[in-house]
Amino acid sequence: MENKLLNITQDITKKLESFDFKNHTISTAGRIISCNDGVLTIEGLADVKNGELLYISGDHYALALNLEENAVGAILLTNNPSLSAGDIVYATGRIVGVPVGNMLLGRVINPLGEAIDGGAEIKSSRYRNIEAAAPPIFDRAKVATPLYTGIKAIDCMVPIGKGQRELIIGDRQTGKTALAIDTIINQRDKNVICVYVAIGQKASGIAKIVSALKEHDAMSYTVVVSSMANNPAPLQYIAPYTGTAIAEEFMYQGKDVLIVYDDLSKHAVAYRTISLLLRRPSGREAFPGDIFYIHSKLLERSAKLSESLGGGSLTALPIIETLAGDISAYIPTNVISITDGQIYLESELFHSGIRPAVNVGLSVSRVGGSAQCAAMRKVSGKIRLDLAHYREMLLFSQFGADLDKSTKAILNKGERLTESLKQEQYCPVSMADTVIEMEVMVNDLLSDMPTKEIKSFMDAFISHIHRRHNEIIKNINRTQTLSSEDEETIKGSLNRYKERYYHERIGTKA
Amino acid sequence: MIKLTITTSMEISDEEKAKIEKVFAKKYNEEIYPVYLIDDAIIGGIIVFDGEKVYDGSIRNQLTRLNNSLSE
Repeated sequence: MENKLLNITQDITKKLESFDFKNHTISTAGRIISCNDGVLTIEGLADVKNGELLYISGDHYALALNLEENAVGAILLTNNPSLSAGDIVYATGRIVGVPVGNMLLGRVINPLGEAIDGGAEIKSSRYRNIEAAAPPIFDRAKVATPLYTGIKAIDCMVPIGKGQRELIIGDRQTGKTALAIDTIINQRDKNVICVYVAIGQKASGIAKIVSALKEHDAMSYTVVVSSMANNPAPLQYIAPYTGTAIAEEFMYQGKDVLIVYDDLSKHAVAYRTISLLLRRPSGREAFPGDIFYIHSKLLERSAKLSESLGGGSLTALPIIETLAGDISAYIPTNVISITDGQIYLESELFHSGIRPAVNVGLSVSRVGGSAQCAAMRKVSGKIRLDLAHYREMLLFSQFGADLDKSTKAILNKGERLTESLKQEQYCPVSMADTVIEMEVMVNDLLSDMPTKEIKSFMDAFISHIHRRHNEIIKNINRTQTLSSEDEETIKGSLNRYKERYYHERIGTKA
Repeated sequence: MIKLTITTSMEISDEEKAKIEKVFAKKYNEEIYPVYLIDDAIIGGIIVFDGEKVYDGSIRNQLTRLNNSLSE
């Protein structure tokens, strides 16, 4: 023990003796000319780079964004500093960067990489610039492996592959965040790291999400980057880039990463705020000219890397909030044209009890079948057709006219399909279970059961299969297909189970 | 003509001021317009700001650098 203390003192003495006190620092600096609404105009700072981090004494940071001949326009990244004209601003020499690495898992950080969950300080040996080039074409591989969301409607009809960008779009309160959180929860034990970027959300909302993730054991593989509504607009602007830099670090290590941007509408508004304050020319809806570019450069960084680079992937789930269902507004159309498909959530469906409120007709995944296993692909085509017919016939049924047998059958089947696609929040369904359930529904094996009872029956039947016919589950997981024998077994088991089910019900009724 | 902001922790004599101005006049080859500030938060030493660069020779800065190098 004494030896240790002696060593430490010797260490310190050595360092003190070898320290060069005369090596005074010479830093590039400028002086604030004006400061209003979080925008600083600075004279000096001749060599500052675009996007460089500037330091003001008192632990305040600013981002240099407007480089003009005689002045630099910078936006403050901290709230309410007491600055005056004439204060000195130092150039740090580095572009904004964040600490990256495994120590971030399970933490909640702000867009500058500082911990805001009350835990230990974030210390890392590796830093990454938040702005980085997207992987070039020859570094990418085809998107071929599925990323399961655990939501039946999506995994079946709008499948997402690893490396894809799939937009979640809908009005407020339609379940967009719930969908993203369910996807994150479903990645447990699947070796996928998740990053959740909250842009401009209420602090209470973020707290709720973090506690939901903790409750479902999802925080151990998730990083939450949070810029709340009271954070200055520049901080909200850089939040998604911070999240992407953190995710890229894992992607280039060969891991699979999922990133959720919640939501990009608020991101666009934050960027508009910054641009207007920097007096950049405004265009449609007062958005600046490069509003498309800030989203395209963000989403292009999601990719599936080739084997030579480790085969990692970054899947993006951006969220956009529409007003009154208008997906042809400016920002929604921008992001729709960037992403590889969208999941359209409708408030009508939500309020009529269909949750998740996925509009199967308007939702699309441009990667589709190539990121789906054979078992799922088999049932998904049939289901989509059946639901499309159902939607057509639904209009006729509202007339109350007499319908012929085949129309009634279509309506019957569609009603039952829609009922079985409903799902509770925080209850992800595995791929095998989805395949079995869809196999039953698409072959209309429950046409004689009242619609209301289908959910509880199917839940019970699936657990029955797990108990009695576990080899089917194993086969599906192993071969990624549903063999015809397993199909027969399921059909036989279903008939027997149905009899028992009715028998017991009649028994309890009597 | 270059405006120099010179910050010291306490009042300095006219001779010392003249010395400083002479050194910087030679460096820039231009006339100096000096502004002297007193700030005891720098503990000691001198900080010179010429509008583009900050020459930080304060004791506070030396202590900060020492702190950083010891905590590595």
